[in-house]
Amino acid sequence: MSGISVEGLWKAYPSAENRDEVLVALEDVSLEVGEREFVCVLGPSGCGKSTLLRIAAGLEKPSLGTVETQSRPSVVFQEHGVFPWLTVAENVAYPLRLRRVPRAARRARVAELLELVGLTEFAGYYPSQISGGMRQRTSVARALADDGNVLLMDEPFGALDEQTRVALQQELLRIWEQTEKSVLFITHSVDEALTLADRVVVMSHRPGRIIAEVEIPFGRPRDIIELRRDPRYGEITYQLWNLLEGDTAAEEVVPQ
Amino acid sequence: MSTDTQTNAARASAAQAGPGPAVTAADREEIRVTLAAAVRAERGSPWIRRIGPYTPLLLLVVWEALSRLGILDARFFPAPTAIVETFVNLLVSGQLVADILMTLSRIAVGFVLGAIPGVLLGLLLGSVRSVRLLLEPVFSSLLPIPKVAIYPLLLLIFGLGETSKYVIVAIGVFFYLFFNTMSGVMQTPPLFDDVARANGASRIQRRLTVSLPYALPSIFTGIKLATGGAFVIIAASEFVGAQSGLGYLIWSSWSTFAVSKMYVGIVTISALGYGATALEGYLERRLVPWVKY
Repeated sequence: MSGISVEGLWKAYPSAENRDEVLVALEDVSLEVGEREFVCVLGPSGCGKSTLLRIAAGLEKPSLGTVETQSRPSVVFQEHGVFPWLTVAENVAYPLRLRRVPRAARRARVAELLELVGLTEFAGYYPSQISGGMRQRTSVARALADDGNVLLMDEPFGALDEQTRVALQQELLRIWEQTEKSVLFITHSVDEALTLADRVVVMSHRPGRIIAEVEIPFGRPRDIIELRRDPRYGEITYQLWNLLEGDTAAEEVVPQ
Repeated sequence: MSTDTQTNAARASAAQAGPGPAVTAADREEIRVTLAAAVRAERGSPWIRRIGPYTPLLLLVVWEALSRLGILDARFFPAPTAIVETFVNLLVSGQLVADILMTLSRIAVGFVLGAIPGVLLGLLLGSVRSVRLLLEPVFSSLLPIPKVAIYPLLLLIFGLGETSKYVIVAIGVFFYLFFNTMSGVMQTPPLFDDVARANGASRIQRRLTVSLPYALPSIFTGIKLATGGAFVIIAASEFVGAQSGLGYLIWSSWSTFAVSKMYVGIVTISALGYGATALEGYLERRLVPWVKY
């Protein structure tokens, strides 16, 4: 069975202005994320891509359609998702604590994960004492501690500076290649999408529809700096930008 | 200042070391010392930090002087040294210690009885909208009733014994903890609740692992306010409804015009309140270490 399977998904919210109207956030979205596949959902802000992730995570209910995941998904949230009242190690241990994993097993697993994301030295620090990049590493480690087969990531690196982002992308790929989870990664960045994904799903401006799926031909493991020298990198960047631009143009020609 | 010159020296040596020869161990040590000094300077003058807790003593010195010089009427404002004399007498006789223990035990028992339901109900109403809509008006309408005003009623119900004191302190403390917990819980960013839900936390687990820690700083504000309130309430209650405790000490001194004894009671309450707040500050730094002070 596939990692994530979304079929005919619609999501609407009550309109703030008119009681009888609804605001459609997602329009007939269907997509599959295969086992051990890395899929990026690329779209402009406000296109409903985060809503798609929240529904897949079980935080919101679909209005119509179904979403199935292989197991309860682990989620890496946007920045500020780590608890400020817990240390780095305690944040990573959080899902284990909820499941009442015994202390010794918990410690061992946390140590392993901190090692994996390079935060061993910062285990006892509070989120307010470390950098944004370290906070997101903590967030990634916490999602890995949860240890589902499905990993959902909601623009986890969006708030980081370029260099930190690239470094974390490379690390994410390294970690993912070791764990081989099914990943659904939400982003608004063309570069990020084609750097990370096996397949990029392009979404339209609101209401969010899928306008294209683009296979990314780069192999694994990837060196994301070297990737930028590959002539296909420019080709795909161009193709994705055209898809996004075409959608924006259509939006402008036919205003609501 | 001396710190500045040190910093400049370190900067100069660091700049020299930049493109030229490598930084020596001695340079490093010098830079480390300079940095340590800079960090100390940022924390503020050690002199001010050390003297801060003792400023109330200065007040006493001024008071003593004014009283001796006859500027203050010694009948109403006896010199602190006279008060100390009374204080020592009361201490030696054991009466003061007995009163202190009495008052403290009433506050402690009442505090626990009021704080626990306050926090629990605050968590409940802060996190469940429907319960809040139903019950908040009840608590809001009870809040403005002066707690001392219902003391005669409590005396009727519970008698002159200890229970009536525990209950009135508990009622006072309850409201502080209840409203502070509730508002802390209501301010919890939804993202943290999402994180917990996405990790499979149950409703109760979400309250305990997200709402409670998020509300802790404001719970501590409630605890500190409640401490002040508890001393006010217990003193007033002991004026009329007790034969022991610091409130009783103050009230009975009034009836015998023993002014310095009265001051002993007042100052002791002030000192106990100060001590309690200091203890709570210590606990807060231990239990809420993620908040910067």
